[in-house]
Amino acid sequence: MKINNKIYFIVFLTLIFTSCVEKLDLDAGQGESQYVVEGTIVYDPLDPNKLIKDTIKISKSIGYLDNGKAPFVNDATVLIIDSTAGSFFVDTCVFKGNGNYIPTKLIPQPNHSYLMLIRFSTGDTAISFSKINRPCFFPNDSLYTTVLNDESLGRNGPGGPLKSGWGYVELRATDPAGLGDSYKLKFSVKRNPVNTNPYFTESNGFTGWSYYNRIDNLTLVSESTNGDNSPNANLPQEAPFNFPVARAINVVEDDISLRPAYYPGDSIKVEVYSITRENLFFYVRLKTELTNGTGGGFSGLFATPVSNIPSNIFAYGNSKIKVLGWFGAAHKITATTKMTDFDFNKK
Amino acid sequence: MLTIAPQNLLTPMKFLLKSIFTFSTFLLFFPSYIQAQQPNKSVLSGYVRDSKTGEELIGVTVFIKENGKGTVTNEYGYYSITLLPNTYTVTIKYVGYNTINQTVNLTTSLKTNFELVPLTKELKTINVVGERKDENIKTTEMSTNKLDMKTITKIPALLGEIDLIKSIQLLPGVSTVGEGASGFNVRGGSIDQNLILLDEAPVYNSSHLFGFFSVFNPDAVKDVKLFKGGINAKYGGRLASILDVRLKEGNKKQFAAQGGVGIIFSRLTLEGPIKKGKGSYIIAGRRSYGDVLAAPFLAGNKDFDGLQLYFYDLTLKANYSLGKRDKVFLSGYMGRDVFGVASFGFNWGNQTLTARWNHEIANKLFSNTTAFYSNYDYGIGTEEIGTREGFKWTSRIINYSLKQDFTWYPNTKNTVNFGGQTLYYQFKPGNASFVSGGVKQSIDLPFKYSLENALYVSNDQIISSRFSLNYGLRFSTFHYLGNGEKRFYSEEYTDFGRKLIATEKYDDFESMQNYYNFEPRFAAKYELNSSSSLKASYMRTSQYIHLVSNTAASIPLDVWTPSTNNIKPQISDQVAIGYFKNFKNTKNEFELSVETYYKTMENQIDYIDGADLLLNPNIEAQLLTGKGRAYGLEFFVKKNSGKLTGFISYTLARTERQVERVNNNDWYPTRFDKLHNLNLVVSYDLNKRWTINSNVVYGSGTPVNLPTNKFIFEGLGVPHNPNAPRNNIRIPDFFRVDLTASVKSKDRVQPAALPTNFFKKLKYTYEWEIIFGVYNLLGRKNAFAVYPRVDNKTTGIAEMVQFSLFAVPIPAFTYNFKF
Repeated sequence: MKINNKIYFIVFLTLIFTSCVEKLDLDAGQGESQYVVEGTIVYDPLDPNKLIKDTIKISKSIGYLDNGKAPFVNDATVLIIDSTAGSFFVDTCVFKGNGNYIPTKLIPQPNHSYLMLIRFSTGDTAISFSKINRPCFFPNDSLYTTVLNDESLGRNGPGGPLKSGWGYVELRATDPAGLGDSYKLKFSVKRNPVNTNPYFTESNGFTGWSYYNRIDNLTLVSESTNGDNSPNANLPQEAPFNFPVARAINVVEDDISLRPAYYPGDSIKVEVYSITRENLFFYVRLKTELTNGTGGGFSGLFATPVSNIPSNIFAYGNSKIKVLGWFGAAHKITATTKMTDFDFNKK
Repeated sequence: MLTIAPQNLLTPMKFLLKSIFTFSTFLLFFPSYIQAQQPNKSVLSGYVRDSKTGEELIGVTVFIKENGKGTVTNEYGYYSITLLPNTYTVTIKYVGYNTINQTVNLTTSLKTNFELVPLTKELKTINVVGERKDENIKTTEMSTNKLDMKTITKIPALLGEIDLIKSIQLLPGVSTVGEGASGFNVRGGSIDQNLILLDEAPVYNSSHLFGFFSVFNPDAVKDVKLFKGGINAKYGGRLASILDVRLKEGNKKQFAAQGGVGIIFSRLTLEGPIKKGKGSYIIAGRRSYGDVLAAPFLAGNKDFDGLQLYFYDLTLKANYSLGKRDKVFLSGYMGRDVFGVASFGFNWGNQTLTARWNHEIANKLFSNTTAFYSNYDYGIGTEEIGTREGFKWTSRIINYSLKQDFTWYPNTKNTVNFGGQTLYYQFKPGNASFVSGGVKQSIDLPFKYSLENALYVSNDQIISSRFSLNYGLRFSTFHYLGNGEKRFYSEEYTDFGRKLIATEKYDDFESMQNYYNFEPRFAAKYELNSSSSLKASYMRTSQYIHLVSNTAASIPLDVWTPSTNNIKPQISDQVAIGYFKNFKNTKNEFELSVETYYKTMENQIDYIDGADLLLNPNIEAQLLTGKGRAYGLEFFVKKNSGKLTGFISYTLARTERQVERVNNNDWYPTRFDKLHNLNLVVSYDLNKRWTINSNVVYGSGTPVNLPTNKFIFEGLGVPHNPNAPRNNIRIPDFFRVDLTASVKSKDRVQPAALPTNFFKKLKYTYEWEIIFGVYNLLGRKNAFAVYPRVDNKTTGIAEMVQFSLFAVPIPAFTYNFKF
């Protein structure tokens, strides 16, 4: 059980028979619809020709209680420019339907800077910059599987004694020298179909990768940069990722939080994205807003005021428009491992 | 790094020593000075007490029939009147007691103590309010509400337990953001702008059980006074209000006990003489048993192993007379709330200790010296941090203070209060330990220190039989002290707040930042006739400590912080005018007051979007400051006598802030802004034993931030407001009706279940009372909070939801007894 959920649950206990949460017929009205851009440029050393996967997606915001689909913007012109000194290159994106625009010639490079320019059919122009930051140091055995028992966790889980071979994965990445690095961690699991586990819903007959890419599963970290208020600045400098971060790549579901994450035969894949500090802040805010007041029935007690998430896409020239979303470049590192029965000895 | 020279100002320690020296000199010479004044006059002085318990009575009228002069007893039951030698009829009046008319032959100064006899039960039922009946007309005091425990006990309460703070929330000008919110808001002020004093020691969190109950045990409380405006210069340190809670001193005549058993907690109070006529004590304790009641429902659920769900408090007080002129008091409070399971929980608690020395320096000069300690600590996490997985976060604020107050009665037209106080603060913003995989990590934010000093003088002056004034001045200083680090931030803000550009280290007690403020206070009363008066007041108040909180409700993670070089003191100016009228003049059966106020506030704290307030060493870089304004109109009608008693309070109010970078720099309503607030409290005596009580509470919905739009990012609906407003939507209005019925024992009875002979021998009898009630009789689902929710996991549907704390009628039952 996550800490926040525990707080809500304890509050729940105090109010156990008397409180309620219910839908309210309250409409805050609808403000002006604005352009929304999701722009991604990723350098992936395992797949240097992957640019076709990078997309710029453009849509428009809708009323909060409007449960229809957000309209796509299909008539924009999108340019991606490699603005790194000595490597200037302009690529006009190709429209691929449903608001998607894809660069066709540009291949992302480590440490390069990119500029995104969008011209809308209204004549308005928006611009954004981003940079592919350096990766963390990632050794070959960066994913380390380990088995922990209840005693070492200091707690008892539901569902009886711990089963042999169940365990956790730890990430053994190291932050490089120098300040200012920020990372976004994603992970996915391919369950061993031989094992059946009532707790893991994704194991019910599904044999592919189950991605834990929901915003509330993202791990967002940066290193402390001498008091400049970096968000989530909980990484030590030039040191291996610490334990809360190193363990953040394990399956945690609300009702099984006290159980180990994986069991023999499971494959685990971790992706570490080196992103800009501003992009990290964007994701921190995104995560906060999406989980604010939704962590349980009583999270409203602890909710902070709803606030707008910043954008790095700005009107250009004489345009007065406001554009939502983010244009982010990243360096991606991937590692994969498999849980075995013999991880006890690996210690 | 930027280097900035320390400020060349009077150091706080020098200031403190200078103040102590000035006071000592004053103490030596002032008594002889006042004795030399008015040589032809004599002084009648002494204490007024309850004849049954020996308890000193506060606010009793001492009136001289022959010349119409009078005074009231102070917080310690002391009075003093200067008169020409003669024979006088002294009238002592206090509601709930028989009036005394006593002839006094005053040839020289005379010390006379009076003992008032409580009214018999039949007469008592017609009195509700523990004040002189025309007190509201006669004094300069306005924007002040006094509640005695007799009034509070008649207000239907949550789960049958009467509560001081819940009762205060029914008064005009007082509101709360919701039923479960900690604290209360006074005239547009935030909850940290109320100074809550328990026998003069500040209480930093007055809540038990997230604000459902307060820390004050009603059985141990003697007197409660809430000052909302026109506050006497002797009080300071907060912007909006002072809640002055005085504890009982204990029965000086005989041992007594009282208590109650309810569905949430039980309480027991013991009191008695230490040495008859010399001193007494009182011990009062409460303990809730939510964990005991919940245990059967949760048996077998391992998530709830080691369940802790309780609060307790213990209130103690003792006093002893050291002679005719000296009396010492020692009082203390300790309480704690604990909520959690074996693996996780949170707790908070207050401890206060107050030592006081009353000394009658001369019969016109009364002195009170107070020293107190106050500690508020709070934490969240696992119980122990060893090698096991866990997390523990703690924070605290500690106070030490020395205070000297004098009351000088130079003549019947003036009562002068003067004195000073010094307060030393220790703030611990946070300490956190994490253990994961056997590795322990800690984040420790260092202590912050500060010193607050104040000197004050005020005078209650009777200009004519109709016109009276109270005026005064308070001079306060605040010093942000070492050892510590003074931090300097850039002027401009990024999305993360301001950037740290320099730091400067300071040694122990070295001053890092100083603030000085003059706080003038003024109040005037003009009696239009014997049953009505007009009053006006002005006050400036300063506040040097701040509660940093960015959540809908006050929670244990809120952090107290001092004023620093980056956080300026809050300053407020308030003007108020009021009309006070009593109807049916002979009985003063109805009291009416209408007050209007306008208040401005400087250096109000707000936060950048996405501020990270927990364990942030650069928390100051994420704060924004701005100004506030509050204005309103308050009506209060009270029926004091008859079978039907009670009051109606109505407040029409607005409270707003303007903070750069928030709400497009425009004014916006605060989270606790309520346009209408209507409370009706009714008590009807069916007969000598049965009473029906009811509350009706109505309030406008408070504003919240709600999104008007959403955008889709990575397939998820993200809330958004194109115009970035603050508090743009109001939650639905609040409406609640409570009802209780109580039945009392016919007479004092002997305990039946216990050996009768034993009690006969001890001459013990007791009274009992049973209270039945229903809280939220109509079962209305009042919104505590409204927030947006998108089902991003399955349907993607967005909706607004409301969270209601008490969505059903809640029955209550309490059994009270009194030996």
